[in-house]
Amino acid sequence: MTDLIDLLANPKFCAGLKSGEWNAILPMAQRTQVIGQWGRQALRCGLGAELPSAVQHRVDLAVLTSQRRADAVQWELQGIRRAVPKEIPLVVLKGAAHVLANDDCGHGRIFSDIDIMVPRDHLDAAESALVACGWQPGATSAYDARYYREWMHELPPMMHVRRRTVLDLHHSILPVISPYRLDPQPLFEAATPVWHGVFVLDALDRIVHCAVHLVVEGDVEKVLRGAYDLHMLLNQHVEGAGGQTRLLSRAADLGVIPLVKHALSAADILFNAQSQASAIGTTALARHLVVAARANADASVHMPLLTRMAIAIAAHRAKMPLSVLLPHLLRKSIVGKNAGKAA
Amino acid sequence: MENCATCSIGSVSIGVDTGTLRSVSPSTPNPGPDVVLTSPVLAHVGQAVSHSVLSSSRLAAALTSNGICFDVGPFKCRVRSCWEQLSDPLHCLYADMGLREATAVEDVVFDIDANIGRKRHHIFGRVDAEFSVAGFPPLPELPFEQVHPLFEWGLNWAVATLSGTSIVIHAAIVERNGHAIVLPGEPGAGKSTLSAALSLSGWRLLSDELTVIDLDSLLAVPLPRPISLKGRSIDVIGSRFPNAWLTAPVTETRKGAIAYVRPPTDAVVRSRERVPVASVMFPVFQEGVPLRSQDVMPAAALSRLLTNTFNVGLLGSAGFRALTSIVANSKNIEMAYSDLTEALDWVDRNLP
Repeated sequence: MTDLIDLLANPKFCAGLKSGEWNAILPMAQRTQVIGQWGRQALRCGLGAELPSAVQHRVDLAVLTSQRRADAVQWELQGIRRAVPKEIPLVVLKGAAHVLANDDCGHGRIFSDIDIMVPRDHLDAAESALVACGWQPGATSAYDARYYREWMHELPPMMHVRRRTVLDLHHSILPVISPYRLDPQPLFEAATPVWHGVFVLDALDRIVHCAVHLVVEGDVEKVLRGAYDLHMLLNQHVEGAGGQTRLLSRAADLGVIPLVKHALSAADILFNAQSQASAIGTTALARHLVVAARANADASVHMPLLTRMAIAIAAHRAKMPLSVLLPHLLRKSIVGKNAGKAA
Repeated sequence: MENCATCSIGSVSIGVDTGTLRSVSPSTPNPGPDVVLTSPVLAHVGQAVSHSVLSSSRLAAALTSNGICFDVGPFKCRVRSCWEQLSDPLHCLYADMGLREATAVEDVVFDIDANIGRKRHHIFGRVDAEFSVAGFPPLPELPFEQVHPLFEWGLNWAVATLSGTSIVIHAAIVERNGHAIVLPGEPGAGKSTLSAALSLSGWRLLSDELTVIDLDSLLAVPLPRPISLKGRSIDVIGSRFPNAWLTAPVTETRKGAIAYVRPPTDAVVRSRERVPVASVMFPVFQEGVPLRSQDVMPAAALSRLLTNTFNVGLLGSAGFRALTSIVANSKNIEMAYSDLTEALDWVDRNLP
């Protein structure tokens, strides 16, 4: 029986699906929030006529929602660009970036926050400018403030006081104290402009970020979606062995090749993506990501505790060295979850 | 950023004795013990109704296994639940709506596939009922005695959300002679009472809660379902329309008692007939005043409709333009009334 992952990997399978299969797959596609992206991909492949009306309707709804968010994000970014001093470049990341860059994975995609990266030297000035036009800084304890400002690659999420949009202001794509010492300067240098003063990461860097994020996010419920984003990006921007070599080389330059390899391997196993598994090799973490993705796609598949732990631990270890991680986790378990997006 | 459908339908909690159905007649102002309907024998025969051949007990068995299917307007729905008592109200209220047992392997792809399950907060806590669609619970859980209203509110949410590519207004809508009247649900409007009365007096019910208008054709989409009545309107409608089918009132709600009226068969049978909006009527219930009506300026009507449109953000400028067009082409009125009969007469004579 065809399942959601089969369908994501091969949109043309939708032509042969029976109603019973759709009734199993459609709710999972909604739950994992891939229905819009997949729907757009199916339409791109000329498969619109193969979709039952119930599916077409859900796709239309997801696409409309996604379009409206894209409009809203562009409007917000215009306001942010006006507010922040001109000399500070704004590099848009993640969901909003896929929309601006016209990536296939950005069409029909649901995302909620806006992620922007500025050079670390300009972080305070950018933050002040945003606060001045209604973006409230994330409320934090003294510990959290230190956690974010000294260790992390982003500030606590800011929320607009009126519109309640959430903005994450980054200065890098990995924490400062990460064992993977990533220098964001090459990211800024390669960034491509979409408007005056507003940039997105270069295509290869967007893929690297997507791959890194898949490992570092550590949320077992979002693995399928992240892996599907990666799969779509690879299909669109990476061609053949040469393309993969360039991607891995860039990942090596940025110092994150192990993280990228875990993600590429998982996406390959799930979707038989372009990249050849033999060149990368399969890792234990990649296998855990695959298990998590399969559990996301099928309500009857139980998420093993070992997988949860492996993914959570890998995420923490990618963000902090053990010497910092252990006391931090101890504190978290006593004090409780931090406000905002603390790991 | 705004959510897709920000409706907050169904935030009421109720204490209930669900699943029992009775007909209210003027001779029994204080209704006696509720009768659990186990067969299609009717105490009061109203307009001819086609009955599902399924018994309530077979529906109960289906509900807890493969599920029960029915149609709401264009939407194919399936519900499964561990709460057997839901089968009684389904049996009585949804009989005309394509009610059937789901099979193990369906040849229909469902638009709405709902589940009402158990939720327990902690080991010694009571077990609540929780409504979910695609594994997502949009509404807070409620005590299991309230499983039927929870089902109705959950369905409201699901239908409103799924209709997000069309205009979705918090309003009742009824139709006669090809012309629809929209009755926005502003607080104190008495929309429920008025729309129930109109539906039972020769006007075709499209919906008592959700006015859905297609963006391209500007035609209203019928979504006939049980009509909800609150508080005093239960007795008002019950005594005025003795042949109507009402569920037993649920008495312990934040908003007072709630009961449901079975939708007239005619409304369900004709649910594919889409019609344009001819009037927008803003009812205002005011005790003891004589009926008065006044025209509402288009800009004011538009503004009030926008306030009541659940997905106004999602629709963007296309939605705004569509609503402007609707308002420009309809008779927009505010009617203040205290007497239901007077109000019905006025509507009959003046609208569209």
